[in-house]
Amino acid sequence: MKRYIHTVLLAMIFLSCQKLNLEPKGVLGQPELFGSEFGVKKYFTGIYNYLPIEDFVYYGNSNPNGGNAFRPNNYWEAGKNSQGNMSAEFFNTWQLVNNGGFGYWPYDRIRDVNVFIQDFPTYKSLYTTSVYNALMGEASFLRAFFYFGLAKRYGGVPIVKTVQDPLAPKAELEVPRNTEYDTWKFIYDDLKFAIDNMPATSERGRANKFVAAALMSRAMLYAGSIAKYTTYMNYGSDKAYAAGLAGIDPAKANEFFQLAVDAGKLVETGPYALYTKDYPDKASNFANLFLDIGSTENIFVKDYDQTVPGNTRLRHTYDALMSPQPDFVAFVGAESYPPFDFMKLYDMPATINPDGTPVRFANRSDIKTDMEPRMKGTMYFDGDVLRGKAFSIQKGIYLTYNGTAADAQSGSNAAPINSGGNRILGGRGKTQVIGGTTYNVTGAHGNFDDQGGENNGWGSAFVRKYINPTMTPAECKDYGSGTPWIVFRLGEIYLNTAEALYELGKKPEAFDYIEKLRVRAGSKVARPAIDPTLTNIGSINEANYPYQLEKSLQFIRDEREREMYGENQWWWDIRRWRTADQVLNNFRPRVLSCYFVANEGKYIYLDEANRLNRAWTASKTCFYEPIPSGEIGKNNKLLPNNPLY
Amino acid sequence: MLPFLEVVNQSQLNKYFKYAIMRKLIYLLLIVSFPVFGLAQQKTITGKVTGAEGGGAALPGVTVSVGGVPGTGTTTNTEGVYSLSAPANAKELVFSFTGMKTITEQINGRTVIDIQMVASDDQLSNVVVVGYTSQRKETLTGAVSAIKGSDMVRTRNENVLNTLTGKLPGVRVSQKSSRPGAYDATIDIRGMGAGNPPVPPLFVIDGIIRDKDYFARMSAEEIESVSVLKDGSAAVYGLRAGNGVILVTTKTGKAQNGKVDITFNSAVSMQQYLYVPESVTAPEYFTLRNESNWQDFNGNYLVRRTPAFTQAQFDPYVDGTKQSYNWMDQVFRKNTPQYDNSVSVNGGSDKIRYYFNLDYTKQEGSYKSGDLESERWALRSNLDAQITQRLKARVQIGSILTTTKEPNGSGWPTYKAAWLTRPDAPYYANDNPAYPNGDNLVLYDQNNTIVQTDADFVGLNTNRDKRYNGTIRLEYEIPGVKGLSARGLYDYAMRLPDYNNYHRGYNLYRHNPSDNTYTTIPRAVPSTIEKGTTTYFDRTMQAGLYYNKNINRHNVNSFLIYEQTYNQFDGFSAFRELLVASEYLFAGEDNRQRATGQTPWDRASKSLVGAVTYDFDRKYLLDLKFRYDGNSRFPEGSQFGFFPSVSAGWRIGEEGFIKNNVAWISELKLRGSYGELGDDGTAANYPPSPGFALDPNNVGWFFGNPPVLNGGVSALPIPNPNLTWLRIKSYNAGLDFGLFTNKLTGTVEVFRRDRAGLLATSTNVIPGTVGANLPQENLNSDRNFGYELSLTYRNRRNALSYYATGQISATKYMRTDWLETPANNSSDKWRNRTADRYQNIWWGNESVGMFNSLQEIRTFKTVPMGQGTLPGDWYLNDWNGDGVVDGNDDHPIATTGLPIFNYGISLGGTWKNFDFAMDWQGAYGVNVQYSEVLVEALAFGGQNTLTWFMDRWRPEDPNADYFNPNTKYIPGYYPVTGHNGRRTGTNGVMDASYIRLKTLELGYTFNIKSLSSAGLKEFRLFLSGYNLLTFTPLKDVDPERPGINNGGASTSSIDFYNDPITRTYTVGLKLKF
Repeated sequence: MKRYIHTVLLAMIFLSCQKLNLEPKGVLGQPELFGSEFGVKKYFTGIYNYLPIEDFVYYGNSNPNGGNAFRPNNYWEAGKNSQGNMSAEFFNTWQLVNNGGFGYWPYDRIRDVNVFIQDFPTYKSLYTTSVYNALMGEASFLRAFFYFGLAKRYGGVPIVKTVQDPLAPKAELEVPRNTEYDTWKFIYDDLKFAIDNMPATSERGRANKFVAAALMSRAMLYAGSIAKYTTYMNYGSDKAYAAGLAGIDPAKANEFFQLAVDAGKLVETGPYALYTKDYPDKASNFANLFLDIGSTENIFVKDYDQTVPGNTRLRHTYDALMSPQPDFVAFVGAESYPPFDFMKLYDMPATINPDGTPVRFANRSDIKTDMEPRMKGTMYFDGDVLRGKAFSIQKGIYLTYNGTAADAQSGSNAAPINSGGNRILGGRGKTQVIGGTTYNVTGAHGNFDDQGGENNGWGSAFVRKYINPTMTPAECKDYGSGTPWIVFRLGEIYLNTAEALYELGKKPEAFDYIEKLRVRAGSKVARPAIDPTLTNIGSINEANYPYQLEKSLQFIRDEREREMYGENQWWWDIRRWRTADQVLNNFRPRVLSCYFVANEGKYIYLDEANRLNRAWTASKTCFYEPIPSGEIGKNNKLLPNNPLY
Repeated sequence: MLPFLEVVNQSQLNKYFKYAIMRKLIYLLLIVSFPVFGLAQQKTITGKVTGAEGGGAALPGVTVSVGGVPGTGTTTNTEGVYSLSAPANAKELVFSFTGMKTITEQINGRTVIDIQMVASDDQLSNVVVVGYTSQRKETLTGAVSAIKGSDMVRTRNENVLNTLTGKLPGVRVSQKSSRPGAYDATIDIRGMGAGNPPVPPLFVIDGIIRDKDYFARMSAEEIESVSVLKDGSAAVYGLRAGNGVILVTTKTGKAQNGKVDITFNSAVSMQQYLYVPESVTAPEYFTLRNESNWQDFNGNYLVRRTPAFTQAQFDPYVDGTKQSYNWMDQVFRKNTPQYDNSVSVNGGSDKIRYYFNLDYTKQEGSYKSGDLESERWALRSNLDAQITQRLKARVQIGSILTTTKEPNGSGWPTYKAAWLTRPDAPYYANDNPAYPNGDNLVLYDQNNTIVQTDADFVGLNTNRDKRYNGTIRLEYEIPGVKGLSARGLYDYAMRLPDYNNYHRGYNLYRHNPSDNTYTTIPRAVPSTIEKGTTTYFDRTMQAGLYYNKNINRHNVNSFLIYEQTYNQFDGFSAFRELLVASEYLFAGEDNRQRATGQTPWDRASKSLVGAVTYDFDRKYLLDLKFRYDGNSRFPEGSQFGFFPSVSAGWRIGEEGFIKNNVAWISELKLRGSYGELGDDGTAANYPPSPGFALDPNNVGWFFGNPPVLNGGVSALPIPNPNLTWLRIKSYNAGLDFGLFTNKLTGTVEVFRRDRAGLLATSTNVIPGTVGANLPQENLNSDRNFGYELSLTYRNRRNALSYYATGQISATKYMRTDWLETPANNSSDKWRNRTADRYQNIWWGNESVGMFNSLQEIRTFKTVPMGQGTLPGDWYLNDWNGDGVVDGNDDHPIATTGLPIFNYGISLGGTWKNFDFAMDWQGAYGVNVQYSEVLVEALAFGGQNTLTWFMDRWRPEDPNADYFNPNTKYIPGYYPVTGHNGRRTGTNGVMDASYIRLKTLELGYTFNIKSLSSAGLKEFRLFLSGYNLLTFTPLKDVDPERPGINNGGASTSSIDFYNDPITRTYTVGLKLKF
């Protein structure tokens, strides 16, 4: 018995002795990843996922809920915090301009790429030369994309192209900023390498030679504009400006414009064509261009799906936040609306007669007669059908309207014509008996006088671009959308090329590209005559530019917005043109309000101030974001900070 | 009775068991059925009880009972005389009295028995469990507090943690909510681990490391005692003892010569929800909305805005044709029941002893639908066997099953949503109960809270927490060396929580008055089902030698133990959409189905633990302990650490110069300790290694046409080969005293804990352009220090014996060395850096004063006020005098984090058959801040608001122009609706000090002599209350409700929407056979 007990005790100690060096579970090493094409793809997956693509889940403003602006935490709200809302491209009651930036500093992703570029040559023998080169080219493309995200925010940034050891002497790690010129040239070099090494085709969602060229086209146009227009900012003796960290010698502008033109023309040699599949209905054709997964115009696309794991940020809520609830969506409903100021860029029917009185329309939806098809493809108006229901948009009733449009005084309560019960406003479902007939005061989808910004039709249009009509209303809920985001499409490349050509003085050639787009848009005048008259007044908010430009160049700029309304380009455009502080100078978006004139049985559309009197203002500080202050604390060589900080 | 096992064969044993237990059960049934039972043969015993001290004075109030069975006895009268009627076959009498040694006297046929009692040193001679062993309290040298299970059970709560509240000095328990199944309370010892998130102390249950959640779900009935190791004495748990250790011992069977006790406890409680704010009625709501509209300076600039709600909308509510909808009443119950029943069996002989306990608890939640509830089964079986003369075995089995059900649409936002639902929002569209209202215009976040809390609509979530563990121990007395024994144990535990979330699609409706139709609003489609299971397997093995020796006046206790543990984790979940009407995974669709695996891990440790406890003459005490601890979470070569502790004590009271000269000092002990401990809590599961983690939940991209989701990898931090655990130095000094024959006892402690090697990454100093996912390094240091004081007074007066205990403790926390981004300038350093500073500073600005009139605003010179400023608004201090009030005016205005001190007071006693106890708990100097619904009128864009915002500034004439200097204002607590003067500056900082009557219990034990022969040994009825009274300066809000800044108990700002804490009233009974 005793022996037995001893044996048991000893056995417990020695036979089951625990090892402490456990094999870690759930970890992969570099050889597994870099040693095969599939492993590299897995490695690149994370890098693609973090690319600074300003898409459906991008917070244009610093994200109130924490997290990266590109990967925000509470990201269903991205739809109402989007860049379009921040820069007043959409009227929205939540967001205003934030000039402070959000501290984008993606050097962790850049390090991931640098690790690949540094270590991948070790594995060269495992690949054919073409595959090896293509992967190295792809890495360069990815790195250029991150630097593009940095350069357009900060100008010159530290160019880090090696893998640094964090334990190296601190002085070595304190990398100073490169000049803005060098930063853009570095982006050029990386993209040039990518173009030279990548093949012409790739699977969907992955870069190739033409994707790199498309980024080149956008980036070089940006650099050219900065070189040409920063001089008008009068930064004078600002240290960062003087040191070339913020701003580029205007003499370099044409160098970049030419690179943009070259890149655009390279893209044209690829297998892309403007989307015309749904001709002859040019409005539907334009809308479908953003929905057709097989669109011939797409160069690079970021796909989404509503069923992916939430933290990949590859699902979005765009549909649920752009159309009214509950008829069209099953979430909080519309949060963003096109202001009248942007509608006016397109071919619109007149709403005011030459004598100043409002035009009478027999039906509300007659506003669409004569409207540019591209506009109808970009916005929904009264009578348009989505998900089986028709939009119904009206703000109120005038018992009579004997006066000019100006008599409404932008919708002021104080205007005599709006007083004494002549103008009837109200909320949803409110009715009014006039002469024995009961009328609905408003449309079913607004515009409601007693409500704020949520789910209320401000103005006369809702956004159509990127709205997926094949979903049921119940499916349009938070994180319910999987519509892909088009990162680069040929239409944009044409606009880039056109603008760069015009800046280079090649005006007729520039308008060749404009013409192609306007034919597809169904514009009344496909190719306007070139007008070299100088002006310094912009189209939105009658912005007072600090420089003069030819009216036809302004037309090209406006064409860009007509074509790319709601594609998160506008904010960057008014920044690189150095006009943002004037365009968003106390900008109070106008709304187009539809009224029923009861005694006539007709409808009028009035140009009104937004009821909340919201005004968007950007200051000159917006052209460069400040270097993240925490980073300056860690590295003084990042100084001088950008102008005005 | 029967010395079996050796002499009784198996069938006899079985027969015996059957007989003993069956007989008890029959008695139980009989007693329940027939409250009155016949008398058995009795005899009367009388006598006088005197005390040994005080010249043999008579002792009144001494309890005399037959065989120590409560309820069968009597008490002595003022002359110390008793007379007791006892069953003829009774064998012994038990005399007990507070402060005296209990005496058991054989009757031996006598009818007169006189007794002399002597004072006991009961309060100090208790045995206290101290980790791998136990010690007599009188020779204890570490800071260890202990509590008996009997002092815990009197607090009636489903969560055992809450039964400790206020009863142990230095132990702080905060209940965050009463949500069924949440077991949502935090605990810290001396503020150690109080942070965000809080890191609980180590829980060791019957010698095995488990966790806080296990302890929280135990049955209070099965707990014998709880000890808390607060200082260096925790060093025997080495690497994991950094925040102190809580040792829990479960009950053991008592040898009763084969007799069995069966105890049946049953309690029914009614829960009331404390501090549940209500929302305003419709006319009030309209009024506030209009006021908010009119005060809006931007909208009001030239033309007064039309009212948001017109008189026509008020009228139906005023004349009674419409009623406000009271959503709070419709969604929540005010009272909900809770049940707790347990049966325990305790008995055995000197060869085999057993304790079994089965506890069933059910708690219902506040939802009117009744779909929120949690039930728990806790089973424990402790078996002790003397296998041979030298070999003992102990087998313990525990299992805890908790099942919680909640509607899929409910959770933390439920109270928030109910508060925010407008009072003019109908429950049902057109008030037709067939059509739940889904009108987005009036519902907050388009949620109908009635529907959200009803599983018939939204589906049901079921969470099951299942824990099982089994332990076997052997103890062998090694022949040849007296006092030397070998012990070994093996424990295997598993935890298999699973969840089943049925997310049901349903319809809401909107009524269209124009054509009297209903628009269907489909919600939550498609229905989905998600199921998941997580598995935890833990095993622990210990083997060791114990050696105890007493030679003359030298006493030595020592042990050396080898211990190893292995823990393993894995988990997975599956998800499917449900297009057919089923709620089961099998019926789901293949399309979009998803299976997700959790990242598995395992951990291991091995350790050598040793201790030598020596005392000379129980007067000079020395305690040496160590643990040599190795852990798989650290890199090879630096896996092992040595954690020693030393403590010493001097019982001055035992010295002749006191013992012989100062009669009123019965005990006086000075002691001190120093220990080194570790903490691996912040280390990752594995030592850092180069590589990449598959991270498909966070990283992905679509490739291909059609697009296919590809999971990606995340780079792991660069390995730091020098990574190690936190190094902790713990200092403690204490004084224990007992005065007046130990009627007054007390303890004073001062302590300090220094931690070094807190993990940090150099992100704060390495430029971001490096881009590396930086390794964690042992960089930072901090310090906790404070004091504790506890006092107990016990006495008796005639039949009344009573006690009073008070304890108070305080802790402060500072960062000593702290790695942070270098300050840009001196004011940045002062404002934003934390190194070498106390960490309980609340930065902010004073709310200096309130404007009483527009005139005052107009002539206000100190700082410019905004154009919209109105009477009732507050102005903040221009602290730096630069002419503007902004963030640069922030300076320390209050304390945050830990309360300045915590305290508890317990009072209790017995008088004749009555017993009584109450426990108070309090905190002083604790500040909180609330936000959103709790401090903002019409939060979230004009949704409904709480009633307390009606006490606000507004014009006497509601139609007056708010900005006209002639407008007269009615003052209120809150500013004009829409202004935020109660949310900023010192106004936003609220004093949440409180004292709360946590427990009040009144019990009555019946004299049931008549039933004692039928087997009933005890019958007690009790009434008990929990959270009965609260005193706090905090307005309208429960002081324990987590806020944004309340001492680390809150982990998230949404915690203040938690299910409220409850007050409970309990009635219960205890039957023992």
